Amino acid sequence: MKALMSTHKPINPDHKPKYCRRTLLRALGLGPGLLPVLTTDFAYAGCLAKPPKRAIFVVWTNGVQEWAQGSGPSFTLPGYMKSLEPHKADLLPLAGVKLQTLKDTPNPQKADNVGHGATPALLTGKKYKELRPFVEIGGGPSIDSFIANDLLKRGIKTPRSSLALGVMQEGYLALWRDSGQPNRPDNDPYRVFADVFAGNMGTAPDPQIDKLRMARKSMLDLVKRDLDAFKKRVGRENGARIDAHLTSVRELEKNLDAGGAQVGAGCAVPAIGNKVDVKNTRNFHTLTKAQFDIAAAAIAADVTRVVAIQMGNEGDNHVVPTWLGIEPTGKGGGLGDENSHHSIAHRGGDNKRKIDGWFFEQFAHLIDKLRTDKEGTGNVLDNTVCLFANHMQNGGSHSIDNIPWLLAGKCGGYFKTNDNVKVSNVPHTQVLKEILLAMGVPSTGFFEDPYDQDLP
Amino acid sequence: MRRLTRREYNHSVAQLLGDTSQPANALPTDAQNEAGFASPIAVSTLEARLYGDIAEAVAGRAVKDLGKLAPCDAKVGDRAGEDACARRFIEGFGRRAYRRPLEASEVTDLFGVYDSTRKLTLDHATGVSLVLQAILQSPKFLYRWEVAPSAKLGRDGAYVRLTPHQVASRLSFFLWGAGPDDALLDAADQGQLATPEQVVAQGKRLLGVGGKASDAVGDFHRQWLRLDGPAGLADLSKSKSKVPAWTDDARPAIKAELDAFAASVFVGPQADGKLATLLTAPVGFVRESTAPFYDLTDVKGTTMVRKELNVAQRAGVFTQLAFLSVHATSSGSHPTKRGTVVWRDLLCGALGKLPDNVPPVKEAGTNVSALRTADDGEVLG
Repeated sequence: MKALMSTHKPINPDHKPKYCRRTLLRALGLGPGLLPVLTTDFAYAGCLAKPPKRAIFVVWTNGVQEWAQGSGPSFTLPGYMKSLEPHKADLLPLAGVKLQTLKDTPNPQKADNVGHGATPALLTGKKYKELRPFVEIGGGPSIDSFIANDLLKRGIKTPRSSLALGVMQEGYLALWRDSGQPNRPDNDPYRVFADVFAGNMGTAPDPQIDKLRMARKSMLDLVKRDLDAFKKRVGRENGARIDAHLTSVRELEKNLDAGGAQVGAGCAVPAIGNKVDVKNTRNFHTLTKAQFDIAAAAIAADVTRVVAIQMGNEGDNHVVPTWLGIEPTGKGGGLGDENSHHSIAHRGGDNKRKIDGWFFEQFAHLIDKLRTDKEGTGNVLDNTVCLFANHMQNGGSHSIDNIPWLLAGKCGGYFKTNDNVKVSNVPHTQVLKEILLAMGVPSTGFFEDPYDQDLP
Repeated sequence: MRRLTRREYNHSVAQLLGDTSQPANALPTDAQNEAGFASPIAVSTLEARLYGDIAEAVAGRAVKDLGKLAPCDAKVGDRAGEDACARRFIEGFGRRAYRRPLEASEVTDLFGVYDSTRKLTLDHATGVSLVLQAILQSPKFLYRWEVAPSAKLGRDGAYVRLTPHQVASRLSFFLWGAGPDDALLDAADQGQLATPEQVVAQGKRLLGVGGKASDAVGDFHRQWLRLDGPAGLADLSKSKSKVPAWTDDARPAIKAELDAFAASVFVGPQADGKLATLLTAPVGFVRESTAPFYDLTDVKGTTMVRKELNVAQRAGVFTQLAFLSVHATSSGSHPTKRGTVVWRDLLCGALGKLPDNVPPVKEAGTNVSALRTADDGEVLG
């Protein structure tokens, strides 16, 4: 869409290996005495002279109370979005986007206003594979996996092809490796941190650990052989599921082999603080911040070029925003506690604004981190596109028209930000196509007919 | 073919290894199928990783008592003796974990894991641990499809005949939520699950094993009546102003009543196993916290008591607290929700799309779509 577009610059990755072990060690709370035992293999360093393009996708729920007003660069943000005010020049709020793929999925039992059920199709270019209570299945890969896969095909290797992060995610899933193949986000930022940033940190070279690693490899080889043989025996449909399992084991091995990335000089390793219970909703705020910090650091250091974060579940029945001073009442029903995010969204009003405001603060925090990290002649955000995607207009109507979608970042000059873009009744798939174009990823295979269309 | 649910995984390691730590609770929640039953979808990279982590932890605990897991007389360092012990463990444990005898090639493959571990100069226990981890991550354990690698599938017209070990596995997962025990595997080995009478006899034997069968029967009824999952028994809560007798102690008591009642109908020597009993018996299993809801005053404390209930008000599982309290609002009854479950899940009826001229049901302080029951968003709102 011409309205969103600026100039199109080609991707020109230029990896300069740099070391920044001291920063890493500080983050891990270890002394520099351990420096010599670190592996000398380097991962791709961040802070690149000619930085690559990246994409971050954030999925959240329950719509918004109000949205950006006015048109063009003079748009205004409602009061509870004030945390985004300093970043206006990097924003592109969209108005008039609808979830067409859900509308087009045959489902005689479902009214067309069921925003929560829209989650699995939200980031895909296809209709649902299947409509089932509680577990609608994505009909194709979500855009994060699609982009990651394209980068791999083009031989662009980063320690992780993509990261899928969750904050107490459960229930309806937005992230799919392919049709019917979930890409479950990891809800544990501490595990992600250890895997991604510190996986190759041993305390000392230990032959015993090396031996164990080798023995484990031979064990996993058998698991893979078993899966491969099993898949050929169980028929086509079951075989596809076993094949997905096998792909997952291979992916896991690749991640383990990649170990922890080292981070380029000048790029910060996030300090994610002391471990908290990742299943207690009272920690929702802490967990969100940890995952967002990991996302920003991983993008800045070019550990990966694609991050997807799913916050909560399709309705957040389980999330009472205690960190905002809203306590559970102990009463409630099908929407969770009377003061759950979901119940509050149904009622609307000031508490809903308070929660929306909190979400926007987190988005602002992520944007701010990306802006703070300099690279080339600008900052990381200049080379990144962030999509903050909600699946319904507001918590009362559950309408899947006019969904609040917010873009941030110019993605290498592709997006002309600082604009409130009003479109009329445009399928969300056309926005996803813009992101693919911005990332230089061909859309072939991502969309099913008739969704491979440009924005008007 | 179906992947083990989290519950089935937990029950399986409890039965195989005595590991009651419920390690599969670290996995993401199982998806549900249309009928409300747990039905896991494809394994993601995160789950592949968690299966590995869980297997490592379970194996680590199991090899702490190696004498119990894999009894072995060989002296430490006697490789030939230890090899023989490892093979014996693979054949014995493998048969119970894969729910069928292993073929020679499978024993060789698993022994290969043990052997390469030993060749790295790691000890016997580590070798056994890694074999155990390979088994716990194998599709032959994780998926219910008990057919040996070289077995020919027996065709019967348009159908494929189940192997005796598939029959055994279906029976034990249905009635125990876990794989077959040695006796059931022996029966399958010897072709003694070929007639309906033989299957019934084994089924009765499994139902006679209190703890396991009661758990599985309770699980079944909770899923069947849509009392598990989001907004189910685990999240049950009532408005204290509208339901003054409600306390949080009632929540586990209500679940315990359903499990005990279902077990009383189907498990043990007293059970008559009749659907009529399930649907009509005016019986409750009551604790002090649930007594007020049945207008009972003589039940005290947390010990569950079997009580005859008022026949004018109560008849079977649909009039007990679990079904009524979950399929309701926090302040009162909800006939539409209950009717939806009965219509869809018992009578197999379909609900049409809500006609446009039906106004939404309104309840003070609640927004409209929460109560529009014609869409699947009913519970989700």
